[in-house]
Amino acid sequence: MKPCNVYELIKGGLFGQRFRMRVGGIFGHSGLTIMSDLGSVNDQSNARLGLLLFVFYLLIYAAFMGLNAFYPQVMRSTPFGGVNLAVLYGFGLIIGAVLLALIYMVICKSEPEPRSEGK
Amino acid sequence: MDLSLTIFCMFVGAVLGLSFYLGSKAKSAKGYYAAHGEIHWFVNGIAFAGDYLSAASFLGICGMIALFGYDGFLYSIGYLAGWVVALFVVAEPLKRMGRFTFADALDSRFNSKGIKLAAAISTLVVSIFYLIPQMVGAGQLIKPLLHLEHYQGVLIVGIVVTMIVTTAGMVSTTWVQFIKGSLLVVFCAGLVVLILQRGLSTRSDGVGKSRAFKVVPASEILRLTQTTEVPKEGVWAKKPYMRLKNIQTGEITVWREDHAALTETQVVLIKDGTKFINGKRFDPNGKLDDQPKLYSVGSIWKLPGGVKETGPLGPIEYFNTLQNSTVVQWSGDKFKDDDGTDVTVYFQKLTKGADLLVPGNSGTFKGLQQDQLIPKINFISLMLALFCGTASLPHILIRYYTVKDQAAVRKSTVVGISSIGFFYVLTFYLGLGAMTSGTLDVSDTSGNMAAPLLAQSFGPIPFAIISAIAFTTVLGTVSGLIMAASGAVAHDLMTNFLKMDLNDHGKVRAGKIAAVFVGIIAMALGIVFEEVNVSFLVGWAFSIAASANLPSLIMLLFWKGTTKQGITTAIIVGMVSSLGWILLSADTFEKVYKIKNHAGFTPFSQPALITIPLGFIVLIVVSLLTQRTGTAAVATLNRETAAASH
Repeated sequence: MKPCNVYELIKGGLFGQRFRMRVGGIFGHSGLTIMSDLGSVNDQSNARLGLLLFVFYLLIYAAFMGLNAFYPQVMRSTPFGGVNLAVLYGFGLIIGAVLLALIYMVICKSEPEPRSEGK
Repeated sequence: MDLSLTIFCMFVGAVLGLSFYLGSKAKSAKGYYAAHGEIHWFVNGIAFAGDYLSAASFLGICGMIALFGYDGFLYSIGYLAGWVVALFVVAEPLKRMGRFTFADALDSRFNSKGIKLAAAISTLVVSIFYLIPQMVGAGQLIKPLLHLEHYQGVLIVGIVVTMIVTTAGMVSTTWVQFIKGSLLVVFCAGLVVLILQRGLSTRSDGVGKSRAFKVVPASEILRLTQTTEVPKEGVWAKKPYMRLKNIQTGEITVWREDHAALTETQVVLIKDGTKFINGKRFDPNGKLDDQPKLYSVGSIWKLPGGVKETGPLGPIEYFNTLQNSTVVQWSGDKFKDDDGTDVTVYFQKLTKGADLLVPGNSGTFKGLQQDQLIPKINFISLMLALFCGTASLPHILIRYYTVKDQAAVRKSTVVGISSIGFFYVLTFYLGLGAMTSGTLDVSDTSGNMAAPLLAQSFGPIPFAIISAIAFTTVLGTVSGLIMAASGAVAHDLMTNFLKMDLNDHGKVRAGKIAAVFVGIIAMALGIVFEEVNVSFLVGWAFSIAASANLPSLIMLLFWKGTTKQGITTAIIVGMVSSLGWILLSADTFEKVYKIKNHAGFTPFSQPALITIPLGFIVLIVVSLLTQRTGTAAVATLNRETAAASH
């Protein structure tokens, strides 16, 4: 292997052409390349949808962690039915994950031919 | 044989018999490791639940909620959230890339011995760390049910599970997990209906072995109890307790000073090897029913509106009512008397329901209600580990290879998430039900027996059923873990890494021998870690799995520049750093090494916040440094694939 310059590798490799995960692509139709590149067009489309739902859930989960860690008093408030926000948010995260999973299953495209008997 | 034991044996026998029957046809390696890839997606989905809803979920979370309220529910949230990563990011590509194990997928484009070795070791380490809490839970379940010692319970589970795995591998494992997953969710739902029907009440006598404990104004204590005060001397002078001697019987009771009142306690003394429970001598050779016992605890002190009982409550109303109630919790204080007697005083604590329904009551999360930054970082780190850990657990990942295609993977994961999510909603009611039903064992500091004891408050049959389900819970998860570990040894290490020339039959035999060894290790560790809360232990496994496996999985899927050296190094660095961090943390010093007030050698106890990013950084840096070879390999593979597809 040739001696390499780390700076050049980072510049050219991590942020250049070879780094193919573009978060912008998650929301549009360009850019996202799933590196299990044996996947079909349907696989790519499913992966894009999956990442979109993942990022959405991640933000809600991160907000939950942030509120509990830095604004614990907010979790004591009782916005609905006399039940506090900690309980409602916790149930919301569980039920929300189930709903997103169902949405994903409904929208996802299945591959036309069975092609996953392993290698 | 009593009724509980009969029902228990019938349940376990039926589950085992069915799984052996259904699994009897798996003879080939593909059958042994991946159930021929022919499991129906719905069965696989419920088996996901059976695999994932371990003793930690059922016993550990319910116990933690019963002891500390909302803190246990944080684990429920984190465990379920992790499935979002598994479904949306990892599941389908992993199915496309792998064959039997997680190492197959990681190595799919490189054919690297380093990756095979690192992934196999990581699978073994994570599986063994996950096995510890399952075995601990098994031992604790057996104790009250069969009146056996902890180690005997661990040995029974270890032997039965090893038999399941060696009989027919993944097929029988899948069926055990399917049956157990279904039973667990259905019966827990039934138990929650009973909890809501019963509602909440301030009555704490007459349920199980509990009774009402007294709280008496300090000024009237001697008159009301017909006692005299024992002078406060030695170690007692520094403690907030008053010892009272009954004028007629001479019996000594201990009361805790709580502002202007004195609250009744329960006391265990061990003097010269003899145990005294609440003043009465315990005879280890006597009949169990005649022995003195600690009273069960857990009750409501005051309900909103001053009522004595609420009657049936709705699911929302239950929280609303509890939030405005006052709950009697119990704590233990262990110390040595001046004459060397070991003293444990269990005392009551009145806690507002509103305080129990927010995080911050347990030792793990207590810093959340304070201003210091470190406990908050610790909390975020644990929640991150739970979020990232699920998609990196080898015994979950192998289940993607038991169905036929990606669509089946997707559908079974959705079934899994739905059933697991429903179960985690139930855990909150089960934990709070146990907290207030007067059935908690005051000496059980881990809380692991809360759920079966809650069932006992509804009668011996629910207790037997829930105990049997909990036992099959352990069987299901442990068999999955032993499968994953035996696959790592036989398939990844022996066949792929060491290139041992094994025929199909030899591969299956190697897997079975590996399963026996892993089973023995699991039994030994289950005995050693008896007194640690199982949820806490599972947090370790999640941290190690997330740190060792997730960076490689994600970067392999999303970064073209990933090289085999990058993956190998990231797995090893992630595993060693997270494991080292855990072993040197303050929590481990306190809960495992039993060294109190040791600050540990890490700034906070949960490693994920540091070690997961570290895994990504190491992978990126090493991949960049070894880029030429890595890219060339990918390019070659792409060319070959393109050629093959035309």
